[in-house]
Amino acid sequence: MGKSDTGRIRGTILASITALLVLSGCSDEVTVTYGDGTASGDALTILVGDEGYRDVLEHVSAHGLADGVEIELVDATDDANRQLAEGHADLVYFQTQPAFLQDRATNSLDTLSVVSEVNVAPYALYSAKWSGIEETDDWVNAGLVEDRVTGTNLPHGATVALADTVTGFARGLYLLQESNLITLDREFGGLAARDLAVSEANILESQRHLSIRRLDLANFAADAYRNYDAVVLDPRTAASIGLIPERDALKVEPGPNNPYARVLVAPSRLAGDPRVSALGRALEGEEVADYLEQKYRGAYVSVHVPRDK
Amino acid sequence: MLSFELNEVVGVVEGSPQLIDHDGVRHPFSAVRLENSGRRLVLVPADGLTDGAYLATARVLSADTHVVSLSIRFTVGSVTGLGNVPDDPGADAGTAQFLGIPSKWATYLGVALSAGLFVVARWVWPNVLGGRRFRFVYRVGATLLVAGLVGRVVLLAAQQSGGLSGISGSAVAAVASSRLGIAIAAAVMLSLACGIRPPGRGRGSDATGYLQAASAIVAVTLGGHGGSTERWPVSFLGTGVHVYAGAIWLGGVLLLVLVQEQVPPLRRWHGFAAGHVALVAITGILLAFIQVDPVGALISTVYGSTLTVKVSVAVLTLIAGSLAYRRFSVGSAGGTEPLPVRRRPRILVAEAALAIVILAATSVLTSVVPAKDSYTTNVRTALDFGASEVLDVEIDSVRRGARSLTVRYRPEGATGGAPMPDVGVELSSAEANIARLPVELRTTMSADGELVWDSDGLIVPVAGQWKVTVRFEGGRGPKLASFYYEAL
Repeated sequence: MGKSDTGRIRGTILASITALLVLSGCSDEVTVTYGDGTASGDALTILVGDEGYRDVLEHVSAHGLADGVEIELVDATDDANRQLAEGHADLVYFQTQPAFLQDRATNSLDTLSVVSEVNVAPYALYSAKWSGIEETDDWVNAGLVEDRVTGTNLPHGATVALADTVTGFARGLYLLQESNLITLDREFGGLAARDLAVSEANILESQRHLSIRRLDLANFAADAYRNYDAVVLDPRTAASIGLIPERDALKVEPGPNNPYARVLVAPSRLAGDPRVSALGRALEGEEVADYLEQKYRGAYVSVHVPRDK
Repeated sequence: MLSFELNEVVGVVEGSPQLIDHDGVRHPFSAVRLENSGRRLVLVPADGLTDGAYLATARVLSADTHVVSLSIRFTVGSVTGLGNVPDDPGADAGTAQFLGIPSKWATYLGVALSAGLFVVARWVWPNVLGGRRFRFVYRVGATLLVAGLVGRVVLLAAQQSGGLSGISGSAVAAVASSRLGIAIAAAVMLSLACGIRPPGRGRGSDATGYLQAASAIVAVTLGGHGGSTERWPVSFLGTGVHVYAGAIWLGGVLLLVLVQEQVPPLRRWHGFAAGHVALVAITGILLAFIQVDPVGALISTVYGSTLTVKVSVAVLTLIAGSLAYRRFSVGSAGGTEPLPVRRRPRILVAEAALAIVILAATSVLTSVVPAKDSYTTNVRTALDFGASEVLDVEIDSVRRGARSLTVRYRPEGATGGAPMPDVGVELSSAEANIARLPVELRTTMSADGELVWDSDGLIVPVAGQWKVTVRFEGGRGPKLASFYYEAL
């Protein structure tokens, strides 16, 4: 074989190998884009609610928790979701998840979605008469036999007052279930209409033989707290009669998997926007959970960081 | 509604979808349609199904005209088992599939004995081109090639028609109008022409010989896994070069035994063969990467074990070739003069026999499914953040039910006091109106120190294009990487 032939064959082989290697490199179907973790860009305009909304975002901004994302806060009005959908703002943070889902369905705001479940204003169980909800053999209001009270835990046969609103009553029942006082036919956490509107009909078992009363707690919270064995109140109503969840509650609604989370909502045009991602991560982080705990003492709790009680 | 998700575009073989219950009763469909640009077959039963066990089957045609049988066994209602649900009636298509092996073996042997034989003779031993033995062997090769290719067309048409006895004109037309059909037609015509007037008798016949070789290689490539649209054109080019180099190598080995009357000078052939063996090896490795996953499938599947046998025989063939070269080139004045050998050396006969075994193994390989122990629709990629910070990400692209998203990271040189790396994953989709969907992850560490983050209850709510954003904190500041995938 001559030198020219050898060279030609070697050249052919080398060209073939090179072509194959190049083509192999081109066959990767996934294109990856890299970033350095910072979220630069224009300030995000956010329509915000009052307590537990605006101050949380201000805390995030003041402490630089969102990788340098700049925000501009504007008070939200009732039609904030529509304003967001029409492009007058970048985000809204003023409502609970069920409220947003209902508004989105009612007004066909299909381009909006929840980007972060942040915190919740948890309902809590309070009692002026009893100091715990541990297992007990004590009975009250039995009728056929004498009351027997030896301890301070909520006794069998106790009367518990719940709010007479659909949401308040349902959340009260779920809290009693979380306290192992009753058993419902479903777990806490569902977002379907039937989950958000449970009633006495959904009670499978009353382990503590409770009598449950529907009351106008918005106006008669103090009376109910004094006269009934226990009462389930939202944090704002509780605060109106001087009750602090962290100090006074026998049991507080859990933060994680709470369907009544207060949510940050964004339009689809910001899908994958690193500023939204950074802000969402900050709101779900430990620092915000600590801030809520220290400032509100249980009146607002993180959805992502579990707390005792 | 029943749905089959496929990883390439298909057509439905008319009349093939069937829904059969445990009593053998066939239930009609109100609709049979292809969605997702032909990658999803949807069957809609005409009536509601009562409780019981069912079998749904269909046959589809891939872009390279391979017929693939699909089946699902399922139950409706409170049935605890599949009971006596009948076997897939299309399962006997496997018989036809294995009848195809002889036709493929004839095709491959024909390519080696025609295309390979001619090219080696022209480039290495041109003196044999005008000989009777060359013409005879070439004609045998061309005949085998034509018979193999025609047999292949018949089997493809039979698969489309549901059996050899039911071959229809439309099925033949469908095969003939496909890329493979056109390539086969060209190869058959050119092989017939070359069979009548073998190359080596002037420029015109040589040109026809080269065209025959090219068309035969293309037809063989398209008829095997090179016809798959998956990883196009890498699988086509890889298979094509593999077929070309293999045909040259094995054609040369067969020429030595069947055409040469005595051992010719081997030095030129040795260099020529070495180059083509290298091409065979490189393309073989490339194809193995495409077709075999994971490595364990080399043992646990028919494809894998056949491939292992083929590679082993190829190594034996190389050893035999090397021994032959050492024996017949040393002491022959530098290999320039033919050795006076009275009969064909056993070592060359053994080499040729092994070459035929390789072709047989290749026939099996191209007739069975590639060696993947499980077929998934997963999207996989590696995120390289530099400094050995590489994450392997895998997400199931079929969105029904809870989906699996996995991130793997193997820390290098991490000490016990090093902080645990943190990974966050988010999905988003403008199409689906989801601006951000954080993925809940569970972290585990394997016995060999690999960190694994698994999604927990991930529901991708809508089909369409989704962006996956991965945030990695490995101690050198946060890093972001994102990529898109199509949720089916």
